Amino acid sequence: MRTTDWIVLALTLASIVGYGVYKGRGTRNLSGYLLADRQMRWYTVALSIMATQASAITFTSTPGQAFVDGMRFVQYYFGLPIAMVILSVTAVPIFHKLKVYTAYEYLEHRFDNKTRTLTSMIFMVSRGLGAGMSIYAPSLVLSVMLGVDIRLTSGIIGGTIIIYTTMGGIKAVNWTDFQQLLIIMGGMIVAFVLTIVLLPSDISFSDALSVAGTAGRLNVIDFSFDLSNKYNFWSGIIGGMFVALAYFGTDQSQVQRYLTGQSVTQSRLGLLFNGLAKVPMQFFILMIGVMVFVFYQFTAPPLFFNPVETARIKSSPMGREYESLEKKYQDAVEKKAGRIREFLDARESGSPNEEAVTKQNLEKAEREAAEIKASALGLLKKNDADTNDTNYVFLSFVVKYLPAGLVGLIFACIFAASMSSASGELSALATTSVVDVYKRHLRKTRDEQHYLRVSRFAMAAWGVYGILFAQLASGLGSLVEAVNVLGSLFYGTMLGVFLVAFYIKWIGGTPVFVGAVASEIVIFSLFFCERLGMVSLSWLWYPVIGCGTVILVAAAFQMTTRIRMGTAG
Amino acid sequence: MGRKSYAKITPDPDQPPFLKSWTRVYIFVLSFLAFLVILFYVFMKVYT
Repeated sequence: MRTTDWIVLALTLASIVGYGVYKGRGTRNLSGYLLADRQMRWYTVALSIMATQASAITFTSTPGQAFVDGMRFVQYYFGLPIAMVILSVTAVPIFHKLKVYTAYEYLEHRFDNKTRTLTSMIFMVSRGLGAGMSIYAPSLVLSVMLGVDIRLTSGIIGGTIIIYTTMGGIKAVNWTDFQQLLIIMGGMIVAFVLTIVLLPSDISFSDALSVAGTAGRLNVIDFSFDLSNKYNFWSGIIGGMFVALAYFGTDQSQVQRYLTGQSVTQSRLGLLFNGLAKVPMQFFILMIGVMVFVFYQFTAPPLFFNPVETARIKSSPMGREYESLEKKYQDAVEKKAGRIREFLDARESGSPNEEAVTKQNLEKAEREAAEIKASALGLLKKNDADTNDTNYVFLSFVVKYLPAGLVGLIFACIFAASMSSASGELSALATTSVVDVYKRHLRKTRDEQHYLRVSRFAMAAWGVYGILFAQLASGLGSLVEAVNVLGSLFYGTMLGVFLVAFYIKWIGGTPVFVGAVASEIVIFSLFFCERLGMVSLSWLWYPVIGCGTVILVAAAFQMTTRIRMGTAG
Repeated sequence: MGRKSYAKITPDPDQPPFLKSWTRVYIFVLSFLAFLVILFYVFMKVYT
């Protein structure tokens, strides 16, 4: 990064802190600190919801995913708009009428204390790990790309969040989310335009799309029904809807966003806007990855995008072999670029035979380049490197090809995205700790100012936890991935509990508690069977199965209890 | 007492923020989704 980039980055980060502190000033009570006095307009709610969901990894990994795997990931969001309508009808009016601070508080009103405690504990465990990862993952990528220590990047992200969340509470979180999403989208639009501008002069946007389509990167829709296929239309619309219902309806980091709405209507508008905007937004981010892919069809990309691992293998005994592969790869990409031009010319000439021949030549050239890449990955594996470089594809492109100033802006976007998701999660964790644990179980009758002080302390404490997690996580190695996956195993249970609460009035607290425990047993069993290769099931189906188990077991338990009581009577 | 009155609160399908009925909102959102899916499908077929 050049001096201009560092200046842009520093100014953007300073403006985020300044704006957060300014917007959060004058908070004097618990409702103001944790729910912004329920005064937020729908656009702030909507952008805050979107910013919290879109973590830094969304903006680093999603273009990389399109680069490697195409655009099929967009199908994962197909269920989200439907989920937003369902939640607008059910969850929003209930939470608003009860004036609860957390979603779990409602469960005590509906069921009992043990169900509230169980769900808030599940939330703190799963979201606690998730929040740690929200700081760790981008800190790692940024530290690699900027060539600085991970302690510095995680310190900047965590430290900035602690300043504005502790001082301004949820109001600061919501307004900075709003500002951060605008910065992020601005940066992404600039990046998209530049990926098109940087294409060779003889390649039009339409040519670029033809190249991407021929290489299988425009695989947006797949109607085949396959339970083991992660992203297809069906897993997206059914599994994705359940994931969205669980995330937006039961996860305090999202519920808290729309609880700050001025009225039921403002909260609903926020959720519905998110439902309508999310799919086009993800399509756009994936399209950036596709354009980066096309750009690298004409300009040789690095053989491996992680610069630290590349430097490490080059200084190892396998360095010579790797460098020779780099040379071969460059030649293969040049050859492939020639084949692409031949294919595009044939396509334009309208001769089907010529098109088929040039397409075959292109596929052959692609296979040759892919074989060299596979050999390089084999070497990296031998060198104990993590061979997944998806997170580095987009940033590597940014650093190498974007002009001074814009590189700083894109890095500021990544920092902003990391802060927006982590701050939402940390403030939700602090709220749950204070409202569902401290105020409910430890100190029940203290005054408002006491709880406000404890809330500020909890915000800071969760922030420090996030930084420590990020700094220690590098020592966890492969456990990090497991930590990430573990978080997704609780959604079905939480959703099942809330659906019973909303819709099945004849089921009481103890049956739903038993259902929740049974559901976790089923999901964890499936997870371990999947890991051991005994079943093949995409994780998108876990929430569907978990939710169904809670409802069935709770209903069966309730009926059995009634029959037994009836017999006894 | 308090618990019972809370438990009585059920999903409240009152007026949506726009389009006047939730059925219309569902139809609007599903049509929007169908439009996107068709658009993506055509886009994919044209360039593949």
